[in-house]
Amino acid sequence: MNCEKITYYIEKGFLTDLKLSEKLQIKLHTMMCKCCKNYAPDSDAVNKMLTLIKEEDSTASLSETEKQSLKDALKKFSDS
Amino acid sequence: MEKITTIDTSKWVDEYADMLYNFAVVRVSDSDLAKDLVQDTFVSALKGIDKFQGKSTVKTWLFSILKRKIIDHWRKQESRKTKPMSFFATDGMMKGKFLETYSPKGRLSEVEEKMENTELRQAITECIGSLPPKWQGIVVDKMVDEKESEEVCNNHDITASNLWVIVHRAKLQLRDCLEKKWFA
Repeated sequence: MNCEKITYYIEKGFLTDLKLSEKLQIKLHTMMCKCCKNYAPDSDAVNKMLTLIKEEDSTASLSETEKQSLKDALKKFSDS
Repeated sequence: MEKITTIDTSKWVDEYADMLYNFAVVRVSDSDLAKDLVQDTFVSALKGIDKFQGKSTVKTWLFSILKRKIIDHWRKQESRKTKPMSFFATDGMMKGKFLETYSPKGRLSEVEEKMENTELRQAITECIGSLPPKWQGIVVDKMVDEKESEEVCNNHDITASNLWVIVHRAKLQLRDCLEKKWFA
C-alpha cells in the first residue's frame, strides 16, 4: 500500500463511487500518513480553483495584427 | 448585402475573437491551433449565417460552433483506447519517489483565499499549460467545464479508467505546481 495508490483512490472518489475496500484503504492509510491526509483537502482546493478559468475568464488575447489578418481572411471569404 | 456581412465580420472579430481564442487556447494547448480554430469558427458562422436566426445571441452561437470544433480536434488526436498503459507508464514517473516529489501540506486552500483573482487564474492557466498536451483538453473538459465523465470519455475517446488515471496524474502535478507558485 503506497501513497500513489491512495491518492489515486482519493481522486477516483471524486469521479465515481469507490468500493468499500478502497474506502477502507484510504481510511487506514491516512491514519498513518500525514501527506495523504493533507492530500484530500489540497485536491479539493485544486478542484475549486480549476473552475475559476471558465469561458472567457482567462488572460490571453490576440494582438491587433492577428485580429487584422483574421478580419482580412474573413473579408476575403465573404467576398468570394 | 455583401457589404453588411463584411462589416459584421470585423465587428465580430473585435467583439468575440479574444473570448473565443481564450476559450480555445486553454483547451487545445497550442496557440496557433487555437487561432486557426477561431478563424474556422468565424468562417463556419459566415457559411451558416442563414441558419442563425437570432434564436440565441451571436456569442452563444459562436461558442457552440467553437466547442464542436474543439471536440472534433480532440477526437482527431491519436486514439488512446487501444494502448492505455504505454500512454500512462511514463517510465515510472513516481516510482519510490512519491513522497519526496509530492509532500502535500494541506494548505492549498490558503492559496485560493489569499491570491488575487487574476493572478490565481494566470497561475492555474500556466499550471495546466505545463501538463502533457494530451491531458490538457481532458483536464479542462472534466475539471473546468465539469462535464459528466461519460461525455468526457466520449469526447476524447478514452475509457473511464483512462480518465481516472489521467485525472490523478494531472491533479498531482497541478497541486504541486500551484503550491510552488504560492509557497515557493
